[in-house]
Amino acid sequence: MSDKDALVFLRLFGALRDAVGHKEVQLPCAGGTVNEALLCFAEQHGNPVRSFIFDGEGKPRRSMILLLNGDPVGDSQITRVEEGDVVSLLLPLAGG
Amino acid sequence: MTTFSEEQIERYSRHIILPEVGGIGQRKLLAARVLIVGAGGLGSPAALYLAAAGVGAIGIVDCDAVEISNLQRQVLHATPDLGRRKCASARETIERLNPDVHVTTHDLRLTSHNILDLVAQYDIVMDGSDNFPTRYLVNDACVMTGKPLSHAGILRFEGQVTTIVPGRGPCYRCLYPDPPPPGMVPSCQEAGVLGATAGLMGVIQAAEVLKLILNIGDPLIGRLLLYNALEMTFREVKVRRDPHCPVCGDNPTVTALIDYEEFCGLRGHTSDSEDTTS
Amino acid sequence: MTRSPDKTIDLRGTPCPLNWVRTKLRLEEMQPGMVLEVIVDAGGPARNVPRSVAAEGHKVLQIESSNEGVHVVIERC
Repeated sequence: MSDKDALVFLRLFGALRDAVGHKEVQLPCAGGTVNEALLCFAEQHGNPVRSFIFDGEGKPRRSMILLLNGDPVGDSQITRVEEGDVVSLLLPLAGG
Repeated sequence: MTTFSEEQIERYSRHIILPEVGGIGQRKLLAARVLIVGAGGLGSPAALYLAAAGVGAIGIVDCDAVEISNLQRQVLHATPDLGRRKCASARETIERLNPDVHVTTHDLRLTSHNILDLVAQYDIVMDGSDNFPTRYLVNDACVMTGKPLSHAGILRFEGQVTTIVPGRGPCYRCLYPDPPPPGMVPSCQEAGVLGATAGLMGVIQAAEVLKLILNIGDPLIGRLLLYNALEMTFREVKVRRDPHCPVCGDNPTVTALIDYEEFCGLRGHTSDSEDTTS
Repeated sequence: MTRSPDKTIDLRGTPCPLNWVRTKLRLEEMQPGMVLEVIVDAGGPARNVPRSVAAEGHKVLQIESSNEGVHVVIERC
């Protein structure tokens, strides 16, 4: 059962940060999976954020690196987020 | 053992003094062959420091001419070089800095057809390209040929850098298995970049290449270094090799180079398969 | 009794740090146990070279001053 007030932090980079306007967002999504937290975030912001994070089949894009408290997330549909956790969404940079 | 000239002893004295380098290490540098992809924001500072260090053979790949907007960060080139081929300009700057360095210019666009022969001529590759298809192409070619690769990317005030050594850690595809959809990650042309960010990341790449040649220190294998110039922070992310990686995994499914423009969604295919080849 | 050197190099007139650089390069070419003698100027060189030799892990066997320079005898370790 998730605590409605328990906050998870999403740390954003690059285009995601630009789209949202903040480098960190707080979500009341603790107790679920990383994937559920991302869905919660996408619901809040709609497109383009949703299309940045999820592909056409609703799966998280493999063009970003997901970290939970600094460590790579193995399977976002299994890994759970607890209160106070930080999920980072890293995007690649192509500039050179 | 090759003897240093008097001039080389003086030129490289600050290297030779280092316990981790010495004359033995300096000879390794002079014998090394490094390919730099892109004589731009990353390639410029990297080339300068690799040349100053005495890397004996440097290959430069670039198919562009010097434009004025380049000069904000591409420090291999100067105002009198405007309009010149970047390769030619790069070679001249490097040779002026250090005549010990033999520069080979590759004034061409890297493709699946030419990269393998090119990479075979060098020991280490440094990716300073500016687009996703080339980054995946260079990664795949290096994994397939077993060549160590220094990878970095920049945008606005941010940079990412890592060192890829096939067989010892993750490759670029382990980090980012899929390229971002077109338009999601803007180019420096669209979003801008702080010149010094390019300088800093390119020099980190040079340091990594030198460490690989000298076989000293801890290169960024399995580590992605994130830099933010505005916050002045460095973050390090541990990244693991993916045993299911299609290129470097236990059972690779990508064993030949592919069409990277298509892979990155830049071919312009429509849903009813109308081909629009460039 | 100091062993007689396997090699001697005259580095009088060579300033710091080049005197150490040349000493180091010569030591690299020698096998462990061999003995190198370097002749350096008095003053800075006579202080700096032995210190660098020791910091690099080699043994300074003897330092002898004369009117014609300072003789530093080193065992390559």
